[in-house]
Amino acid sequence: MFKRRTVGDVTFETVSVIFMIFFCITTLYPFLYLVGLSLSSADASTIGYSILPQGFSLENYAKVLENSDIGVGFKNAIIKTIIGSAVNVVGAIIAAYPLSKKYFPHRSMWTGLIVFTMFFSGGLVPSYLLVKRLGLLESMWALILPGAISTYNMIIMRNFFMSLPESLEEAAKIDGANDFVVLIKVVIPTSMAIIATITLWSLVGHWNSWFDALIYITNPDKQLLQIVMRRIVLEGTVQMLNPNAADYTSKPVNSENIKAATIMITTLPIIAVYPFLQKYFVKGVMIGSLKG
Amino acid sequence: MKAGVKEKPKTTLYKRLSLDKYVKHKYLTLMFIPVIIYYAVFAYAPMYGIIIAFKDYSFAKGIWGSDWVGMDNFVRIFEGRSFFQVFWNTIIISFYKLITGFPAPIFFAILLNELRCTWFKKSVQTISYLPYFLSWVVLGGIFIQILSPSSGPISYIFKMLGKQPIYFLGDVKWFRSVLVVTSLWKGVGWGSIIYLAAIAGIDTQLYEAATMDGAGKLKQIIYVTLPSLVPVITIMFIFAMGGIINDDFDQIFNLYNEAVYSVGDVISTYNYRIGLISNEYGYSTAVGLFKTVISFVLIILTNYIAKRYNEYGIW
Amino acid sequence: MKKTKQLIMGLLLASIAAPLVSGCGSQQTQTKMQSLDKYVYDSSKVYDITWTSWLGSPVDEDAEMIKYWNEKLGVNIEIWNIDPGNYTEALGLKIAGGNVPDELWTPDVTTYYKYAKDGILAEISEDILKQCAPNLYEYYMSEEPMAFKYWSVNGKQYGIPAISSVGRTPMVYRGDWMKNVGVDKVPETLEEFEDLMYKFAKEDPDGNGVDDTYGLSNSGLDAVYGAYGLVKGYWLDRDGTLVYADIQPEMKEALALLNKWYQDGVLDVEFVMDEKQGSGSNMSKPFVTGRIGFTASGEDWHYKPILENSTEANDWEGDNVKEMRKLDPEGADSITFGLPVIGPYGKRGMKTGNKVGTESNTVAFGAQLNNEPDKLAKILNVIDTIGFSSLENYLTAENGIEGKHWEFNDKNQIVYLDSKYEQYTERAKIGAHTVMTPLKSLAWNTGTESYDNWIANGPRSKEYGIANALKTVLPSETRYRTELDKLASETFIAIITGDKPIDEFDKFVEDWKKMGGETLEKEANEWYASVK
Repeated sequence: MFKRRTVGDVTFETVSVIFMIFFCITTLYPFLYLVGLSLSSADASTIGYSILPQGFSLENYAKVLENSDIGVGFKNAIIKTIIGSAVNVVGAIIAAYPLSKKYFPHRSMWTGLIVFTMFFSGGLVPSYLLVKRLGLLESMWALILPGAISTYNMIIMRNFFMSLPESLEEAAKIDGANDFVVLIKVVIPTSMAIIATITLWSLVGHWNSWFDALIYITNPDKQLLQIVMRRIVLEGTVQMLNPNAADYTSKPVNSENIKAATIMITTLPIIAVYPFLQKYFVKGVMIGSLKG
Repeated sequence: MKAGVKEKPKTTLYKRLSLDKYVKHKYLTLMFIPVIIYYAVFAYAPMYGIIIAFKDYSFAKGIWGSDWVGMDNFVRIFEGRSFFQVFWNTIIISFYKLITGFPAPIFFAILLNELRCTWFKKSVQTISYLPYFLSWVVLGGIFIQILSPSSGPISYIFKMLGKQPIYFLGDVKWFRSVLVVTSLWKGVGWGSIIYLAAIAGIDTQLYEAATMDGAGKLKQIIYVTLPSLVPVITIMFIFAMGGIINDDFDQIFNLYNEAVYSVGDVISTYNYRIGLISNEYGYSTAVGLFKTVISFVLIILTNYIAKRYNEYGIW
Repeated sequence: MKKTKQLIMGLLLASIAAPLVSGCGSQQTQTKMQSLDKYVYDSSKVYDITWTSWLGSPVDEDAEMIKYWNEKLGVNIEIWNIDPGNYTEALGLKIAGGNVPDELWTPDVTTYYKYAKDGILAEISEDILKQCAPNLYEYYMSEEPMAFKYWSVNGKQYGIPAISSVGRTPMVYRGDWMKNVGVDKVPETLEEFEDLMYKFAKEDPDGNGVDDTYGLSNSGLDAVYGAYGLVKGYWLDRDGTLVYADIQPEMKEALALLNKWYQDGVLDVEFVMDEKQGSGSNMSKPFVTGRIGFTASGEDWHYKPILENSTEANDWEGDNVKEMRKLDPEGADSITFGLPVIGPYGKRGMKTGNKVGTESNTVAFGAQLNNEPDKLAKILNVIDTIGFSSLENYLTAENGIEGKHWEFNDKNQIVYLDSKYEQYTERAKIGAHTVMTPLKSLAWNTGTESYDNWIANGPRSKEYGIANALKTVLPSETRYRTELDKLASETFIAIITGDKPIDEFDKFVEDWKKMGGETLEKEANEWYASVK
């Protein structure tokens, strides 16, 4: 099928492989550094940039997991991330699909009104008041609904939909399918690559967000992992405003090693998501379904 | 349209609002109603908060009841001696980041896509986006150590080559470069995901045809891959232009120091230091609004230009 | 019991007598009397109180210690779990939402001023405190009688500043390096200090044969300013007038000296950055790793060894010593403290905090209490009882119930019965640690003889401190301060590194005054006159 590869191709590939390997070493480094720190025993120095753990112990991880807040935070974060991302993806689709249709009335006006909100927003105080009036304080929905539709994601999704050949839908419509059926049966299956991208963005966004939780959720049973992590990792820094920091009787709880272990525990699960979505980025998925 | 003309007398308003079209595409309309409600409730309803920028916000009086101060808050932004400096730093750093950080993920995605060994490709993808997940608090500490002229590995290489080590973070000539390179490094893997998704959507027949014509890898990239990416690149570019007034507070805050204020102090870090002394909602809202207006104008301009040269735009 | 009865009687009498007294006595005393009579709580009533404090961890719903105090004091306290990260923002939003807690803790003065000016805080007065929180009042009078005056806004009182324990920045040397360069006496004067710093930099004090050491780094700048009697960024009293340290002519000399040290390789080339990194634990990395031989980073207790007979059974080593021990145990054991060195004008000193100053936390009360003076009285009573009335209450508030959460061992040290309570975060969950003691008497805290002994014989950090003479935020500070600080920092670094000539300092002083500094000087002295 393919022609024999030219010299140019081989050179190109070799150069890019070498570049990739070099690049990956640099991106892997800080991660391994944290892994090393998290596996080091408490009496090892935390200064330096070696990625090798000094001594080997899982005691830091044990200590972090002992903290009951971590478990609670994990559970809440997983639930919120899954539901929130589902809402985000559905929200992006139902907003993007009508706006991708040239025949949808007042399309530019609606798009303009929506894009406007990307830039102009009322800020924190009215948003807080709104959530409070809607009775969402202390509820997971306070973390999901205000950001249910990301305009950025929506626009990207819409443009992807717009680039789909019109013939696709027309064929289905001749068969008597309505817009809704076309969306579910034809458009979504052919757009899995972009949906996977937006799913990934939403999952990561929800997993990493903390500020909304900090202002809307105060019940310890509903706290999120990121908030727990921040409390551990930022201990002793100016952000935590500890009045007792100037008081030697407040013994710090978390060593650098424990902080590193905490970062690992909170970050690894979300990183592990990507390989599962990766198959949607393989070349030709869309074309395959297009033909089928 | 013709049907509309016939029924003109009874249904002018109905027609003028194209309500018939909403009815005609009732499934789209149904789908869109929750979207309208969402934006009305969560975006437009709280928008009155913008007026805080023109007020002296008082907790007791609330947003509506607080006293108007006209443009005072804006005057304060512009009167600062450093205003021009931090504004310029913000723009120039963002601009450098844009010209490097914008194309890099595109090329990275294309390179990745050309790799033939699947497990290698998948591993590179995953590893390349790791730094995105680490906060600047952590990365800042690591970079400070690596870039240290006395004990960092980079200075070691310099010394081996018989050169004087450079104090990257303390030297006004180098600081912006450090910001640009580290930000590029942190974001390239993550940024490439959208382009990988777009590449996945390219019709394989196009490649087959190109191969038939005897096009090598490089030619395929230039004549097939890149043109197919134009729509998504356009959109991403328009958004990126709008973001030029935004700086990466966490990055700069964790890397800067007094010695490089003149090149590294940006709007957000400057306002952070103001916030340490005073917390005025009016002032910070005004700063936000100022940035928003600039973003908005940039986006509209870029969108306009983009639409003139190709048909893609954000609206 | 007796006291409560008295109070009730007072209340009854007041309500009867109030209409009668009017007419006699001066108008002023009469209204004062009358208004004070309102501030008596009803001991038969259970008051609902919303409460904020600095929380190491969110407090559990049915926290044990909250229940304990509720029962003991006849209140029903509801803790607002406001995360200590972004505390001010989160509290601000709750207040914007229309809810002001009855008892409100705020970490910074400007927030307190803002709340007070906006009218969301209840007015209090020294007289009210004297009546409702007598132990607290007495303690404040003995520690810092001006505290309430410093905290007044437009002549009225809305909050109580927390009193901080103050210690001077330590002067820390590496004893082993001193020995290696043949110096056996800790520097007493700036000249001796300079001599030692040069030796640290030039005479290979770590004995590795490589020229890789410096005398001092960023924190060392303060030691030099201190020898000229200055602390950067502080206001100082010179003959009854407040002057700003940064623009004093002595500062020019200090900078010239530092410039020389920098050129000579005595001041670490990386000084702008290297003592600031890390997670804020005040660890001086270059000192710990043996690149510099002197530091003034952090507090004395960051260099504290494990002390015998400390309050808690498991004492711990200060961060800097602990980290240093991992790399260089001998160095860690050789840490030597000095006193601020004497400069050419016979001055000596180093930065120290104020018992009450711009860095103090504040406790205030929601304005709704203006209408419920009895409730305000009750809250003050709660604060007074828990934080100021007895050691027993204080220990219970901080550590939990004796016999259940902790006990004394034979050395009179606190031993936690469940080791998890050694972590303050776990104590916060049950409502102990700082949850109920946003204000407390430090008298209870310093029942740590061994620590005090160590301070007195080691760092001696109660001596030669220079405190900021300005204890308020000036009205124009929000407008000018950021620019002025930036100007000063940039200029000082440029002079030290030689980017700009030393005479740039004169231009800086001029600019500083022009850019709002003169206004600040005027305001500072107006304030100073008002509290004298």
